[in-house]
Amino acid sequence: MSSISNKTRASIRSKKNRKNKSVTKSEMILKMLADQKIIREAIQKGISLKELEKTHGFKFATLPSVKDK
Amino acid sequence: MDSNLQPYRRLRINDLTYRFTTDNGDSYKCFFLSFAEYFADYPELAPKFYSFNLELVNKPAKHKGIDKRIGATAVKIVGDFLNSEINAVVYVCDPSDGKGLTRARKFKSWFKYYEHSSHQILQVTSDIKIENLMLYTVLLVHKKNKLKKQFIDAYLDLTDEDK
Repeated sequence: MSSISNKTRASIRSKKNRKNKSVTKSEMILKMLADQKIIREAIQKGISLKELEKTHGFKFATLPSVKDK
Repeated sequence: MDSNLQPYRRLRINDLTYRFTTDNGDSYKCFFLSFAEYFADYPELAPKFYSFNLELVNKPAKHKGIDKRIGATAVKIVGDFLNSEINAVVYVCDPSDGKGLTRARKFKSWFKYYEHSSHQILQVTSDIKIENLMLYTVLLVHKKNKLKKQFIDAYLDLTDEDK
């Protein structure tokens, strides 16, 4: 009996964890889209990425020098 | 190389941004945004995850057909970024105007079609459905990247709804 009960509890815990993780993922994806929108709109307005780093805390990769001919 | 497949000359306008202008006069900015925050469960990989952004700066000019050089330029930029064999890149197709799938198809075709270093780059795709919104994403990682398997696992963990 105790074993079944523990199994049930474990199952509920597992489902809760999965659900929580799923919600977190949804939130993350939505934030990702929201951030992309902020950046896109800022670029259209001529705001620099350095400015966005300061105001929104975004971080961008430092790019290597161009070797194109 | 066929001149239609020659990448446009890009300018590094500051530490964070490349810019190129097409024959039609369209101007694009390219940069890589850190995606570390989305991979917090993978502290070793997180700082090496970036998204690739290609943004049209001006209103699009009237186009005569498809400009293949835009794809060639994007492949060159991403390819060079991944050649360090350190980072991985996620491309998230903007779904806001309903053209996410078109963008995904185009982006994936670029990396299948163009030579440069694209044959060295592994593509993994994953589509995510969030709140009735279909989001198309692509992971790109260099085939010789020692952490490529871990990158793929982390990416699929983020994008797989069932996990």
